[in-house]
Amino acid sequence: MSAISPSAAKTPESTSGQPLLSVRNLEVEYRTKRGRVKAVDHVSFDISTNEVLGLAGESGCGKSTIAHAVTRILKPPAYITGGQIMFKSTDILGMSDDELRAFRWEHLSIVFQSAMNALNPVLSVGAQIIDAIQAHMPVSKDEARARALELLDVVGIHSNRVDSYPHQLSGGMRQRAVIAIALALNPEMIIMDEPTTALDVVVQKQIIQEIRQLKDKFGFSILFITHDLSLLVEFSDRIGIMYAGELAEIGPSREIFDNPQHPYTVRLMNSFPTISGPRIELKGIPGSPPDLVTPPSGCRFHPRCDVAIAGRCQEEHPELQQTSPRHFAACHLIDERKGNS
Amino acid sequence: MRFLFRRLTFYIVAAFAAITLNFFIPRMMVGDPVQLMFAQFQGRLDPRAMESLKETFGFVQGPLLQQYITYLTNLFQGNFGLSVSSFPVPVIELIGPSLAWTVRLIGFSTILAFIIGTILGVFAAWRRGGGIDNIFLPIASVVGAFPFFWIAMVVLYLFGLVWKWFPIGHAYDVSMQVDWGNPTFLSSVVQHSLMPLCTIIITAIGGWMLGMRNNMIGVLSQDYVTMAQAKGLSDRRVMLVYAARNAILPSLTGFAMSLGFVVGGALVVELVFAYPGMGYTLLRAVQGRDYPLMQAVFLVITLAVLAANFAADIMYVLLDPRAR
Amino acid sequence: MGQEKQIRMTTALEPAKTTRSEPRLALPGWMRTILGNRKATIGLLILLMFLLVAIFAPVIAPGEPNKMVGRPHERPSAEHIFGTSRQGQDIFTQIVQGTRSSLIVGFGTGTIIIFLCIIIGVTSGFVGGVVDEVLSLITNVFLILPGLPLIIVVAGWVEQPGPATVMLVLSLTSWAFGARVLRSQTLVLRNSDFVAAARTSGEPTWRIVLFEILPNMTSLVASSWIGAVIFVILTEATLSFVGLGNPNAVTWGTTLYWAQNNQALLTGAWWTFVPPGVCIALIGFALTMINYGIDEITNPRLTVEKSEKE
Ligand SMILES: Nc1ncnc2c1ncn2[C@@H]1O[C@H](COP(=O)(O)OP(=O)(O)OP(=O)(O)O)[C@@H](O)[C@H]1O
Ligand SMILES: [Mg+2]
Repeated sequence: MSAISPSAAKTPESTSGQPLLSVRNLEVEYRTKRGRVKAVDHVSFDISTNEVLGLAGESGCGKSTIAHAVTRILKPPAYITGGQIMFKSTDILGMSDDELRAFRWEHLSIVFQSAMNALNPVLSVGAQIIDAIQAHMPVSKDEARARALELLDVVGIHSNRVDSYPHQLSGGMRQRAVIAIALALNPEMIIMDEPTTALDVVVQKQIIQEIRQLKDKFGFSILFITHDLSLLVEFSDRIGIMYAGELAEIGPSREIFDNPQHPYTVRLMNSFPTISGPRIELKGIPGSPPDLVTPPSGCRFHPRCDVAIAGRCQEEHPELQQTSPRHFAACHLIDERKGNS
Repeated sequence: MRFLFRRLTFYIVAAFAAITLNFFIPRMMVGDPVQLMFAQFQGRLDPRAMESLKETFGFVQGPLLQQYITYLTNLFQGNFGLSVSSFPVPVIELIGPSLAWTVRLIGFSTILAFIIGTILGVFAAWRRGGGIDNIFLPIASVVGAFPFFWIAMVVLYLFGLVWKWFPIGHAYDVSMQVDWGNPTFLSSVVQHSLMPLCTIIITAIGGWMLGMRNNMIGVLSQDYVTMAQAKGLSDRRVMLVYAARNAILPSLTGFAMSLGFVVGGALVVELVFAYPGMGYTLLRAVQGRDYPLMQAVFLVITLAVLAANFAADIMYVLLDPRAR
Repeated sequence: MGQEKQIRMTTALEPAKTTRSEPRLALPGWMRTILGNRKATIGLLILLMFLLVAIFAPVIAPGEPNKMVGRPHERPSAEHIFGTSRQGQDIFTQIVQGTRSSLIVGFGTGTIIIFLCIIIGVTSGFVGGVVDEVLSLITNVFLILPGLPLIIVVAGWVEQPGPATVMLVLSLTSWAFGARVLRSQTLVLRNSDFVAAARTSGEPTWRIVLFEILPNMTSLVASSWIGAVIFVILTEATLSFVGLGNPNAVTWGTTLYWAQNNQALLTGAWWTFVPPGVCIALIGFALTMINYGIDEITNPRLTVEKSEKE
């Protein structure tokens, strides 16, 4: 098996057939006074129809930045400096403003990290669904409103809440309302950026359950972002692990769970309790994520890695390499193991 | 409604504070205020005027509390006393017409300045670093550094005296009869008001604009604005319904402080243009030591400012469901 | 009021390009920080110029400012570079010597005001409870009462207001905005970890306020102080202009007062009112720049986005 360079044609693919979303060598940077923060560095992945790809990693590793780059809602000081994002056969990065306006929400929508901030405080929930519908479809206000009521019902909000303002709803209901807005035009794909982080565990579980049902019902794909690895293992088909702006490992959930290849994945796994399992092993990861203005040389994880290979990991940057048909990881240890076996 | 009720209670307290200040200010002066008044008007004032003056301010025999009650009673009966400089005309009669001129001039120009400034602020923030941002902001900063009355002097000098575009002094051509049905009279009123009007607008616009611009910049980075854009809404809708509608709320909250400042400046602008409004009357009253008139003008201005603030609060409630 | 406007105006004007190469002088740290900011440096330079003029006034423009030294309303010339007033007084001498009183009244009153703000605002925020409610109510009332009319009325009761009276009246009526700003900052600090720590270790209140709270709001106090000075300079000029100052004193405001009263506008003697207005504006501009600078230094977020453009 050969290590694949990011530019090579062969990249971590999902299933056979054409992917719905395909991200290649994405690079995003924030231009700040301190210098350029490389928040996303040569990231590639695919998502196919009706698939859930989970993205996990510590705070600040660039998860939201990827989500915003794919939807092209990044604003200065963030700049996409390289790569390609294809949705079916259209190039998202090449779209004009008008094309984007028509494309987004109809094909691809996003659920923001914080539901409170994603809702306009001075408009009723209903109005915020209705204007999304009317922006894309030539329907009357009444028709749009009927659809809004339907959507609220789908996400489990009683229709008499349609004229409520965000501050009148509970945290869970707000999150459901945001999901309803994302569903408004029946998109093929929804990006969900930590849709349940601010909620308590019970509500969190309910909402995850509902998202799963909605997915089965409407058949959209999900790019699901979270800190919570155990949640991902249950919920997603495949998982990507990010570290310091790079993809450290990507592969089918079970495989990542049973046979993690990257030391960071192993650590991350140990630092979270599993939903089903006993809540005991709670080791944090020692050290802190690197400063992305001046990332460490070689493997970005080496300063925190206790199995780093002296010399090599400081010097040489590991590329993603295949360890099983759909499993890729970027770690020099894989070579070592291969050499030993 | 709770919000409006709370604000109203506060305005009543504030009005009461102004009334009480009015009572105590003369009493806090070094020396005896009655003596001071006597000294001021020695030989110029007939004894009846002196008596009425004392009564207006509650300078009756008796303890302070009783004086205060007398003063309040007078006030609530609408008895602001008699003018000293135009004795024995009741102060109220002098205030009436000048209040009308002021409400028209300052009210109109302040509202206009608020609207124009807010709109400019919205666009400046929307196209940050664009035309409005680069042209109006520096101008506003420079104008804002000058005293309001000085801008008024320059406007009067250039447009009134050097280029003679507009008539100077007073609110209308004094050779005319006041007749609001007469188009010539109306046009004279408009012509006389243009210079003070523009001065107040020029001086007040900058503050509103900068405030609104900075609020907008804050709101534009909110997720709900980004999501509105992602939903595919038109720029117009995002800018107005999602961004501006939220950004204007702090402006309305800050209305109180800014309004006091703007009104203060506008009153002195009246003096420069000899516009017969409250500011002109107040300053004439001060120069003529017409204490009852001075006090009454202050109270009326205060009440007007409080009323304007209450109007801003009502606007706030209409725009922000959280305050309902 | 005035101060509020200044503080809100923060992000205006051109982006600040902080010079990276800092002067290698043995300056104290805070001074080097300030000189590293372009706006603050411009403001300080203008202010320094006025300070020098104030200090060396008798050297720069010797002579009695109210003495008749020429014909009435002479145009600016080599002899009288700002011309003369209706009374034949030299305007340049008036402006130069007026700098002194304007600066003294401005900075003196600004200082009194900031002390009132600290006392009222910090007490209100730190003590809390009923004390806070009462003080906040008083603050809010003073905020909403129209300041200038109130000042005019108070000054109107004084027979012949001298500089001291004007300073007193301005101090007593203009503290509310700063007090409110400092109160909210105190509230934030009061709930911070280090104050909680100091409290549990049993430090006396006055020590906490003096050594934990105040040092942590230096920049806010500084910008409120500068805001107050701007407000006072403007308002003092306004009061003199409307005739509530001592008409025989020499300030920028009285020069404007005489210009207005002597029909300088009607006779076209623009030189009598342009210089004092420009001086007031320049001082206001300089102080505002310093405030912007302070704001940018303490709040770097304001400049981040403008830093590195393509
Ligand atoms: N506006 C910005 N200016 C400068 N740097 C930024 C900005 N926004 C994000 N960053 C940097 O980009 C990196 C990635 O941020 P991002 O928000 O994508 O992280 P995240 O993985 O979503 O974290 P979290 O789990 O906390 O949401 C971080 O290191 C962050 O410091
Ligand atoms: Mg995030």
